[in-house]
Amino acid sequence: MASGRQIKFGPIDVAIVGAGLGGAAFARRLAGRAPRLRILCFERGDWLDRANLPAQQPDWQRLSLGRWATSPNLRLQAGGNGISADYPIDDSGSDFKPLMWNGVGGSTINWAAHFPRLHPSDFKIRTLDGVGDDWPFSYFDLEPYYDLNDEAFGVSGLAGDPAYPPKKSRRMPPLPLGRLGAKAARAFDALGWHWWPVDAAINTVTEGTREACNHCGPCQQGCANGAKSSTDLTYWPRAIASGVGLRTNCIVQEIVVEGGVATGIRYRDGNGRDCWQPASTIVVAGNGIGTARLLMASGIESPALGRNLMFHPAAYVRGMFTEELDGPVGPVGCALYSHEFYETDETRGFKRGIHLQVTRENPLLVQASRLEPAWGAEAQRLLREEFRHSMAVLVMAEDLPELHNRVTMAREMEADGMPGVRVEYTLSREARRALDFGMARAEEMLRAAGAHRIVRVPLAPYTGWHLLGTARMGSDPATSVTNADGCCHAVPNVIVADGSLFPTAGACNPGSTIGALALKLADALVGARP
Amino acid sequence: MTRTMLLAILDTMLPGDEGEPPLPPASEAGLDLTRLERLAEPVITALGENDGFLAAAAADRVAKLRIVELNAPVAFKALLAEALAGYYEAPPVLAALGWRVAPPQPHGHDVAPNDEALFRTLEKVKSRGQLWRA
Ligand SMILES: Cc1cc2nc3c(=O)[nH]c(=O)nc-3n(C[C@H](O)[C@H](O)[C@H](O)COP(=O)(O)OP(=O)(O)OC[C@H]3O[C@@H](n4cnc5c(N)ncnc54)[C@H](O)[C@@H]3O)c2cc1C
Ligand code: SF4
Repeated sequence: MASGRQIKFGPIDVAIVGAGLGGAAFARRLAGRAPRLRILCFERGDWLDRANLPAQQPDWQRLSLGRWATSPNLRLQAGGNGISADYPIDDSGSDFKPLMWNGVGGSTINWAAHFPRLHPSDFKIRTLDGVGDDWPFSYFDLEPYYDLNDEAFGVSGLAGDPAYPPKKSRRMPPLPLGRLGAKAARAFDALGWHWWPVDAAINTVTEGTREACNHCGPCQQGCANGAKSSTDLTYWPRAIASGVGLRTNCIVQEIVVEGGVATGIRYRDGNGRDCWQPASTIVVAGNGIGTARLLMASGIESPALGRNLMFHPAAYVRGMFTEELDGPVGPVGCALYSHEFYETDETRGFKRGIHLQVTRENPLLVQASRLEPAWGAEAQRLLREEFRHSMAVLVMAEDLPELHNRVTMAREMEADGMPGVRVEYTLSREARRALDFGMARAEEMLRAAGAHRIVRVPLAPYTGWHLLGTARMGSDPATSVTNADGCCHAVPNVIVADGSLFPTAGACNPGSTIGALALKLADALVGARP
Repeated sequence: MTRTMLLAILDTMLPGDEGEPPLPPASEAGLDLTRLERLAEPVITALGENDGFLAAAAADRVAKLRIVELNAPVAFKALLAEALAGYYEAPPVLAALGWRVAPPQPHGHDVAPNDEALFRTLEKVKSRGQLWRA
């Protein structure tokens, strides 16, 4: 509850927690739909300063493993970077390590901007395959919002992929496949398998102050020239221009609930002051971990809260080639994907499917740091063989919602004034089978492309990019946290608007779906249609 | 003594090679030794016998370091991580691997434009018709 020493602000209509992907899309759409609403967003981190990103520094490789790593824990261990307001996550009980960014733009600051949609079948896997759950709406209900979100992000790619229902033509031409992508494309073609250049939320053409991508490489440490879309560059300038306020360095500690109704939020501002912001509606978009943590810390109860965490389990297969390939040039989410094995085929021995993505290589230091053996003459021989001669295929599978994969609270309080958070996640047998199948297909493609040596990474822990499912949508309060409009069953004026809502995850990246979903929920709040 | 030991350890971890152009041994790559020296202290202590290590042949040094890697993994890992970081951002090393010394920005990298003929093969993919289920 608000105390006497608190700084108290006047009431507003909507308080949004988190200025990441879901929060930004929601804010922009709501402000456009209902311009008279007083909307304020509270973000724990700060704005990114593009002039000081690692890509311009001589020690950029080292920074990408330390203060600018994709893992908040690694950043904290290295002393932090002053922009991403990270909190420690006990991930010792998780097969995958959660990755994120805690500042304006959220995890779109360090995402790879690979921008696929889910397939229509991903929305009804219980009906089609008898596993998981159906979403409370279909792909086609979300489709107009996918289009709006594409427009806001600015997609480069190529329309016409038969793995999807027809999409509008992409605003910019696809990113170049490079030597590596071209080689892979020929191999997929020779095998008669589906392949398609990626949709990317990356400019291939200069638009205003945002330049075209110059393939610098380290997208996951922020994009220095603004080619990569992140919500600090896309939704936020427009949301702010339409009157949304954004308070940075404000850590929301609690949603205050009285008699089943949320009355406002208590937050700690950048000067460490305790503040009280009354609001009629609270929108939470803190990502699959931050949202669950805040709802739990606020005593908002649901049997499903924090459970059913999904990461998209990932493995890699790397092929070594005699001829020279591109090496660590970006963008890392390039160059192409195959959905040959995306839809269920039960003869494979598992349900649901896999996403294969031919990605660009990591920086030299990252390649050197993952060798086995890690040091000595043999390590250096392997590195010579690999550097600029390797092609990596990411194998991503669908993990089904499972109650025991979850986010829980620790008893101890953290320095940010909130309870500590722990993540427990075990790869299921079904997902293991899917990854093994995918690795075998990736190897087949790499061999067809001419790889002379293959290295498999059967489980890649630092791929916890996608934090999904911990406040899932549904109609039954016993198995879901919110309804189809994101309103919490327990406290209906608390709306979740981020990746936590996913009842199931499909097998490909969630960003474009999170954005589309947030737009849809903002419309639902004001009773509007696309 | 610490510095001599440090250089010997670094050269065991990163001996360089005789490629074209050759990778230098770590001691000749221009690494900043101050921080490495501090990190090396527990590793040197774990090695125990400095003279023995310095007198040992290359293969024996590897064997001795492997024992330290097993017995003092945290200290060993910290030293190795710093050695790798210093080494693989050192200009002579980058040059030996044919990579540029300048950071990725502001110049970025060149990537060949897409090959139209290759993109025409996508017609084959399209001709398979709808691949999604609803
Ligand atoms: C390295 C990396 C690569 C990725 N690559 C891709 C990709 O190529 N394609 C793709 O689709 N997805 C990718 N993702 C995932 C994608 O970025 C996320 O799924 C997406 O950003 C999640 O959106 P969100 O709104 O759920 O949360 P986020 O975007 O993470 O935003 C949450 C925000 O809430 C704030 N917050 C949390 N708690 C509080 C609090 N208590 N008070 C105030 N603020 C709070 C956080 O600081 C953060 O800014 C990647 C992610 C990472 C980390
Ligand atoms: S590779 Fe392109 S998108 Fe990625 S950081 Fe560099 S310029 Fe930005």
